Amino acid sequence: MQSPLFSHTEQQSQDRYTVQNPQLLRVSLTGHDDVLARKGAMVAYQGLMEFDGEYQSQGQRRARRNTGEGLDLMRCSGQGTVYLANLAQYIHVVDIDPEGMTVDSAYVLALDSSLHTEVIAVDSHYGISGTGKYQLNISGNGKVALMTSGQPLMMQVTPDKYVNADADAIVAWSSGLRVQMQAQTHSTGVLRRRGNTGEGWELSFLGQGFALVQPSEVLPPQNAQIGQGAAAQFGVGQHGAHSQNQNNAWN
Amino acid sequence: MNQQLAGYAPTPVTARMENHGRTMLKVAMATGQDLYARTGSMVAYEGFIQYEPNPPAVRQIASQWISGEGAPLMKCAGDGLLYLADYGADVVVINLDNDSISVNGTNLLAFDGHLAWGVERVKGLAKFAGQGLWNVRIQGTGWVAITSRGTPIVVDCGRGEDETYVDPDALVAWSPNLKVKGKRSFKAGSLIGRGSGEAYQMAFSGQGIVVVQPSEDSTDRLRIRN
Repeated sequence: MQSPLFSHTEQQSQDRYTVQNPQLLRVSLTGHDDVLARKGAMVAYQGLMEFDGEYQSQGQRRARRNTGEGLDLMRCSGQGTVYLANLAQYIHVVDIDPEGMTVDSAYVLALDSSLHTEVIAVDSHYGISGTGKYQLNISGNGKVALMTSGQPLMMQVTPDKYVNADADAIVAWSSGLRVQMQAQTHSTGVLRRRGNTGEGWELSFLGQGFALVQPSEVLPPQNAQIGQGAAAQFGVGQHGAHSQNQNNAWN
Repeated sequence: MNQQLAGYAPTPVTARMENHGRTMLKVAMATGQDLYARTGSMVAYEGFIQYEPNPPAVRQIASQWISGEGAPLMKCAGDGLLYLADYGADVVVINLDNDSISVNGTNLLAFDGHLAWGVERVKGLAKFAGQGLWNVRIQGTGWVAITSRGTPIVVDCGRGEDETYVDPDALVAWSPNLKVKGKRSFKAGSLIGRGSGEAYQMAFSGQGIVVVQPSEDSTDRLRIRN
């Protein structure tokens, strides 16, 4: 057999995390250190591996239920190589800074089991859609694999800059930053019809650090059921009027 | 921040509009140089930038857009760097040099505020195309950014002896001086379930370009959202 397909061979690397290609993560495990990965993200593995659902404490489950933030993880242990991917999103391996990183849990693909995660409230006054209200704070010493829909933008935040991002497009930022949620309002409202800019909440960052933005405002479809069968025939379920990802790039 | 992500930091500004990666547009904003952008397309900005929805000038020009509704455009003004994106679609930056281009309404991302523009209805074909084909015609000297689902192809119609046919759902933009015709390829077979799925095309003739995207998804994302 001959085909250009055969050039897509495994990346040779000693690193624990390697980006096999921009949309596929290769994790090599030596048997001593586990990795936690998003449930269902495994696409292939070599060697002796075991996948176990990670126990969630009562507190974590409560935080998950109340805030929507949290991680459904599986513990991958053993000796060998695991390949992880989620819906062809772009994957980035990030070292956690000493000060930690704040991220939307929907964009975490895998992390070292030694890291600590907890749900934090960015601003608790408003009911805000999209990213922002509650986030996952990751701290400790290790690496995280993040996902973005499309190639991202990394913005350096320095004290002399005003950096803002759409709450639906932000993926992660340094925990050391001061964050404000803001929405633009207009004083002309009552006098003339003003329509809508479509820009809702923004996050405004102050301090020293980084903010990571993706070029898409849809949250990736998590646990999407690719609706088939009778339900889809009758236009209900994932393909129906209340489907999560109607007419976006994922369908 | 180290390693991999550092590669995605913005490059220094060299022009009014630039690509950041394939799917993001970076606009250098300055006071007095306003910009019209698709509503909701901002993903991030640095500096002070304000967004005005549906300003009076837009309402007037786009009054016939789709009766009653405002145009999906906002006016951006201020000082700083503005980043725009449209749900991960590829972004193409065009520099008009006393030139004009006609862009499908859903594929328009941003354009300079000083350009002359107007909304036109694509004649003859609107009744076939599912959503009606509304175009924005832009002319003058300045910058325009359009979106395309996937890497677009630019077809040069050449001398104009023969016609170029395009699926209207995949059409993104074209030179307005081209002649446009509708063409139906409807056969009796379609009635008994043997349709080819290509019921009508648009035919272009004359001298100019046609931009086509490799996707036939023409739904307007911002209108669908509830």
